[in-house]
Amino acid sequence: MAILGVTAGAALVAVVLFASARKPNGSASITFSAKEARVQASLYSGLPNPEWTLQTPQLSELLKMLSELPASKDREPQQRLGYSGLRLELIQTNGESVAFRIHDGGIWMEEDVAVAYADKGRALEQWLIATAPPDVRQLILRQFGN
Amino acid sequence: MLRITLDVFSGLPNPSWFLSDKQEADLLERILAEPTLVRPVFADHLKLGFRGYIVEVLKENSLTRRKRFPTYFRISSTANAAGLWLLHTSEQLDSEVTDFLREIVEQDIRFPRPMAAPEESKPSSPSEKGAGQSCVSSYLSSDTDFSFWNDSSYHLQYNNCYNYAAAYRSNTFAQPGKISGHPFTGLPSCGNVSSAIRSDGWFDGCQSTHNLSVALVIAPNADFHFYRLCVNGHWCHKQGHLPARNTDDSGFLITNPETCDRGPYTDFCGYFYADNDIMFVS
Repeated sequence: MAILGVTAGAALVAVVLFASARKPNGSASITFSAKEARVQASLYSGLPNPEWTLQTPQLSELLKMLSELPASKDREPQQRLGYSGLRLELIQTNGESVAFRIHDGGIWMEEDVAVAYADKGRALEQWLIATAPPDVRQLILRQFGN
Repeated sequence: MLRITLDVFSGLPNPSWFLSDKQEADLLERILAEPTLVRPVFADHLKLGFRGYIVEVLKENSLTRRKRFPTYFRISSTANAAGLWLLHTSEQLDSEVTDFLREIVEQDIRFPRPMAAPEESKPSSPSEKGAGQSCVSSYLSSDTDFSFWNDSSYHLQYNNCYNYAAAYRSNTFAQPGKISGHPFTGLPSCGNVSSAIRSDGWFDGCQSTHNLSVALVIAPNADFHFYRLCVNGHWCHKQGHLPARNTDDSGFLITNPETCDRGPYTDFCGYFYADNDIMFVS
């Protein structure tokens, strides 16, 4: 369940978002907050990959989607050269971050791939691609599905 | 009766659908007006991404008989108006072509990918030593233990294929030529990336004093990639911010970077060597 909290300052409105997720084995759930979400398209091996930051309403929607993802026990398949999915990095309010790899219908935590979720129909991946700047989106769409 | 197959996937089965009688008549009229739309099925089939439509005449009608239409042919991916029109005929109940896929293909039709110039797409000759040849005293790291590279998000994120090739974790997503002040400019090609890494200190020839052995490949006009020789004659690599590994795009251990499955990195530029067990890159 995503929780939205708002703190208003004199000239600053800070939006703090939380999402919780359960480990696939049903053990203690992982709770993290996110003040920012960065998405990186895995397109290149040598050149820097394009990345973008979600807007606040998109971040809220993202965390809601993440919190509703079913856990998965699927092992992470090897990614192929060329477009191979997305990297999602959630920057938490304490400055720490947690990153996920999103590809092939699944979501795997970068530092512990045993934490995995199913992305049915690649819905989250497609939703994130839709948030990309137009030029990046076009680059991805050209390679999507190969 | 005509069956249309959208030739777009390389791994998944391509989706197909049938045309209505009216759509069938429309397509045949388009072909009569522009006969060059019809291409052999094998044409363009090696491209990645949208490659056009494969048309099968499953049941001939009077027009296909009279005009002697081929019964199995391709509508090229470069057929703009006809391509867009055919794409919309896939909008049917229970269609295997999703709106999202249609959008992708429409982008490809409207904005076709530039093809590499002939001199850039032609791979240069590999070294005389050939695939898998290493220097006598090659520094060979493990072909199975990649913990040095894969142990944290930070190291994954900020070290790329060039870092892995150099066996040096600079945490800067290293670029060829940057540390020597001669970064390559323009779109990556064998020529400009090779020049850049030579300026970083890599050599073309294998000598007994050299230690690192790497192979440079190029996705024409898009990106560069490296493989490095590890123990047991296996070549390993790190794809951008993803984990280092020892397998190619088909999941096989890499024993020859010239012939392994390299996906879009179709240009093999050659082998390069370094006179050390690491190379400083930035």
